Amino acid sequence: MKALPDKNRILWLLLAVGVLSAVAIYRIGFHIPVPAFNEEALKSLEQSRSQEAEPEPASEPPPAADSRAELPAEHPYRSEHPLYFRVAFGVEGTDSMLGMIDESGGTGKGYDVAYVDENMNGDLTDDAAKKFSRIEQGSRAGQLDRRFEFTGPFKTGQTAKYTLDIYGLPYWSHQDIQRLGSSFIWFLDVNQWNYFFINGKMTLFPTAADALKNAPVRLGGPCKWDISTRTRDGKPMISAALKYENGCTLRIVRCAGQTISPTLTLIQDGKVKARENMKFG
Amino acid sequence: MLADGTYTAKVELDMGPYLGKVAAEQTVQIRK
Repeated sequence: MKALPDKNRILWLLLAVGVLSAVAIYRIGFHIPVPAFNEEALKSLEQSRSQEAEPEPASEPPPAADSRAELPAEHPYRSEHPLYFRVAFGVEGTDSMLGMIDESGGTGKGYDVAYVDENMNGDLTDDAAKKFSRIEQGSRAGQLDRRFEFTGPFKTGQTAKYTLDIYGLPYWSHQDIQRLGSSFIWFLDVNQWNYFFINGKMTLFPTAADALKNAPVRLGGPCKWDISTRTRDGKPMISAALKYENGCTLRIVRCAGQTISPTLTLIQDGKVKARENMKFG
Repeated sequence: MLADGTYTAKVELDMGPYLGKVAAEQTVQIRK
């Protein structure tokens, strides 16, 4: 009586071993992952399936290029004393944009980077940084140049390249810059024409609000001739300067690489007594 | 050589797309 149950147990045991062996051979032979040991693989499979299941609508436009790519990952302002300015453009001067100068190395390390609201959306954080270029000329090698370039409005529907060169900016403290103001020169490049203005004077403000409520720096604008005479070494000299409101004076104008000279005509009693090209300088 | 006297000085410059032709006249005294 005892032999029969033992025999049945052995048969059941053999059957169980056989089933387990068959399952193991099936798993190993067909490389099917066992869920408990391949959760990561399954998760990644689910993710890839969910991405495939939710494609972007075909009607949406492709994403615009990210203009913040050149900005640091964290908040772009590194100085405790960023300095702000506002520039207006063109003869009408109706368009203006905010700019900000920062110290990329931290407070007291020198102003070496600028942000200008080139897209004119009132947000400086989505504009690319304008790193001041480094000078590599003899003993001045490694020093920072103080100029930076940006695109701004020129005339209706047109833009131009502007280059603003602010004296002493990389080397002065923020107190000095605000106390003394800052002299600047600037360049305008449009089509084949290049303009260079000197003797500008601008104020840099401690806040954007201050820059916005004060008069902007004008880049471009209506100019007036200032004509004067003097005597040097017994010879009469006539000079003429093309100036506009913030003191900027035209230093040179070129077209396709050729300097364009002003023409001076001297008239007396209705007759032309002299006519000649003037020289810049 | 210009004689001393009063002249009208006319200055002209082609400023291209920025301001076009810019001209001005001014009376000047020339004394040597």
